[in-house]
Parts: sequence; C-alpha cells; structure tokens
Amino acid sequence: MEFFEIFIAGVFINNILLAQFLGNCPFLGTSKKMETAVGMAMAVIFVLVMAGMITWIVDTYLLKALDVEYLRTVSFILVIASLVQFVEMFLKKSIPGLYAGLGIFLPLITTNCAVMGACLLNISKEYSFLSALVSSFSYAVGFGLALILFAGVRERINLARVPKPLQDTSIGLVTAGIIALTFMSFKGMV
Amino acid sequence: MISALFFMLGIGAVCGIVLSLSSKVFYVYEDPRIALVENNLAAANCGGCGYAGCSSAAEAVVTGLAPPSVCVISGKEGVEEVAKIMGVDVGAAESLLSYNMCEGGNRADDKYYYMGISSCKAMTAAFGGKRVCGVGCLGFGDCVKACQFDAVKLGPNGYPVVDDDKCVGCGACQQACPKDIIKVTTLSEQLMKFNQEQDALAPCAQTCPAEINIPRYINQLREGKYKEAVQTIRMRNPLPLSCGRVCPHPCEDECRRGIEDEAVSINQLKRFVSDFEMNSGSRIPIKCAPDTGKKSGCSRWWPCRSFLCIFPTANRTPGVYL
Repeated sequence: MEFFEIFIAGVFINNILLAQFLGNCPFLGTSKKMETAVGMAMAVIFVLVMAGMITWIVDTYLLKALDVEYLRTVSFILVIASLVQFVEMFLKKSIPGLYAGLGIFLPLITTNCAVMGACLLNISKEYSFLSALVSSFSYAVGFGLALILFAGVRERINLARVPKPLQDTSIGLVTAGIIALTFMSFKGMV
Repeated sequence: MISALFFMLGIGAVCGIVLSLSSKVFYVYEDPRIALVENNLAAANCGGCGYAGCSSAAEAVVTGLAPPSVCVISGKEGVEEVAKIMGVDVGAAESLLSYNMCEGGNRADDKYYYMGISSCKAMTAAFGGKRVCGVGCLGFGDCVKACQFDAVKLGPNGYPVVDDDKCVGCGACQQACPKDIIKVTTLSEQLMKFNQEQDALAPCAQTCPAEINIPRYINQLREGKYKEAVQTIRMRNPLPLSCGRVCPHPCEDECRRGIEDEAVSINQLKRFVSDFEMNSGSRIPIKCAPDTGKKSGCSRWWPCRSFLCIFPTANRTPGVYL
C-alpha cells in the first residue's frame, strides 16, 4: 500500500513537470512531435530508475557513512553523468536496438534537473531503497505522462489559427500553464 | 575541507576508471570513414536524402548503399570531398529544385466558407478544398510549414513561391502538398517535359477545351480514314464545321512541334475533314443505341465543366454554351 501511495503521488500529485516544475527545458523542447516526446519519456524512465538506485546507494553508503552530506549535489552530478555514459556504452555493445531507439535522448538528460531533482527528493524524504526505486520510477512515469499529453495538445495547436505574436513557444507556455492547473486538482488526494 | 577534497577525488577517480575500462570492454568497431564522411555532409538532419539523419546517411555511403552525392544540401564541394574519402568518381549531377505548378491561387472562386483546421490536408478532406478549381493551390501553406530551409513562402496571390537560392530540393514540400502542385525535379527535366502528370495526354489534347483526341484524328487523316476522323472529332464536339473556322485553337499554341519549327495546323485539318463530310453530300451517321423510350437529364447544380451541356441548369443555359 505504501508503494502504491508513493506511485500515485509521484505520477499525479507531485508530478515532476507540472507540480514541481523541474525539467522544463525538455518539456518545451521535445514536445513538438509525439515521436520525440515518446522517445524522451522512455529515456527518462530508463535513466531516472538507474539514477535513483545509484544515488541512494552513494548517499547511504558513502555520504552518510563518511559524514560529508554537504557534498550531495556535486557528487550526484558526477555519479549520474558517469552512469549515463556507462549505460550508453553498455547499450551500444549489448543491446544495439535499444541504443538506436534511445541513443540521441540519453546524453540529453544526463544531469537534467528532473533527474537530479527526483533523486534529491528521494533522499530528503528518507525513503528506503525499495521506496526510492518506486518513487523514481513514478516520477519518471509522471514526466512521460505530462510530456506525452503536452505533445498531443501541441500537435493539435499547430493546426489551429494562433495569432502571430503567440505562435510556437508562447502558446506552448500558455498551454503548459493550463495543463498544470488541471494537475492541481490532484492535490490532497493522498 | 580536506576530507571533502579526498572524497570528490575518490568518486571522480572511481568513475573515471570505470568509464575508461568500460570503453575498452564495450568497444564497438566503427569504420573511421563514417565520421569523415559525416563531417562533409550538411549536418542539418533534414532527412532529404531519405535516411534518418546525417550519421545514418554517412553509414550508408560507407557501406556502399548510397552514392557520395546522397546529401541534397552539401553542394558540389561537399560531394567531391565525400567522393575523395570513398575513392570514387563524383559524376555529373544537376541539383534538384522545387517547382510550383499552380499559379491560380486566389484567382479561383470559393465554393464554400471554410472554418476548419488551417491545413491544406484537412481542407482537402472536405469536398477537395474550398476552391472551385479542383486541382489548384488551397493556400494554407502546408508546404511552407514543411520546409526546413525557409525557402517556400506564400505569395501575395495565395500560392507558394519558391526561393531558388534557399531551396535544397529535399522534397519535403512535395510530400506535404495534398494537391500535388509542387514537384521537385531538375531544371532540364522541368524544361524537357510539358506534361507533368504521368505524361499520359498529348499537350494539344490537354489544352483543347472540348478535349478532342487530336493525335488520333490526325493519325486517321494521315491514313486516309476521313470518315473515322470525323467520328473521332464528333465524339467530343458535335460542331466541327463551324469550330474548324472560329476556334482560336489553343492546342496549336502548345503543340510540341512548335518547339522545333511551327505547330501542326490542327484546326485547319479539322476544317478540312468537316468540309470533306459536307461536300460528300451525306452526313456520316452517328452510332446510337436503340431508343428505350426513357429520358434522362443532368441535375448538377454546382459549376459544371461540361462543354456540351444541352440541359438548362441553375447557372447555365444551352443557348450560351453550345
């Protein structure tokens, strides 16, 4: 039940894009086409779960053990960046199909604020390893959900008659605000 | 302070060692020429070559699946560089350009008031678009949206204008256009061919308002089959005698023989063969199915292109158009 609550909270209530407002650059950058949005969502799920695991391990067995918790942000950046590099190499060798699908998106999100923020949130809530895993996964799913929803809306807006000064990013930001408002209705569910 | 330094140094060292080891363990051999070829492509990732991006195009060049001239943007120098890397001959090639076939645009009247999605594709779904002209430009600029090089603009008259300097011939506009108005082809191909669409009809037959099968009746005249020639003309036009005299013969303006010297005297031939029928003293009978005792009529109310309408309709009277 605890895991279920964490999952719902991560996907809807504390949605990383629309409630926490982290990772807005890929949110606006990769949402112009559904295809890239889906690729980005998959890459975030992949990276965030791995990053959630490794940062929990680093935090518990290195930072807390050696009493250097003030180095959390710096060391997380280093660890996540190396991890993504490592995963990229591993995929290229062992699973070329997955590499071809995720390839261009992996380096894009190496130390994306959504990935970093989700890892820091896990630590600040003092989750156990399993809870941290579920929470990272749910944040990533929330990211994907919001991104794909937004991409769908944006593809439709492309076909509508938008006044010249509002075209492209401006109308995108307005839309993002309205979608974020709808996500506010999940507040207080859990 | 010292502990923090050592801690970060430790983490950095571990990450560095792991990465350098894994770059050896997970090393994938890649042909060094792929990177070289990719450096000489346009790096726009436009997809004009038909591959997913510049890197996959470079891979195709190196594996021999694509010629060195695969990149539509890179120009002569780039192609020569790629050919040098691959050790092959460039060959001569003319660059592709986008050509807009429709110069009607806003000249065509509207059939209805359109209030839907502002895209030519969507409008085509509603009765083939709002224009009375079924083949012309709809003017919503799907081609403009498709162009990644800012080369297509909607002109003042409601049809797209292509900027030849910016156009790279990637073909995105051609794919986007639901009316097949834009063709991506070379300049000489554009000049050599009069008929754009499948090259099925002779130019004279295409321009004839009555759509008479002109090559056929001229051929029948050549073979001396005068009666058959009269029948061929009358299939589309019941009044060859007067048309042979008063027709402004737009067919002769487009006659391909005119490119070489002078156009074939199509109208004069029609006059000759109908005079032959008149002077022979008897009308050549028109084959007709036996009478069924029933009558039929056309109930088209929208603008109709038929040249030979004999039924009065909402906006046409037979006296005017026959």
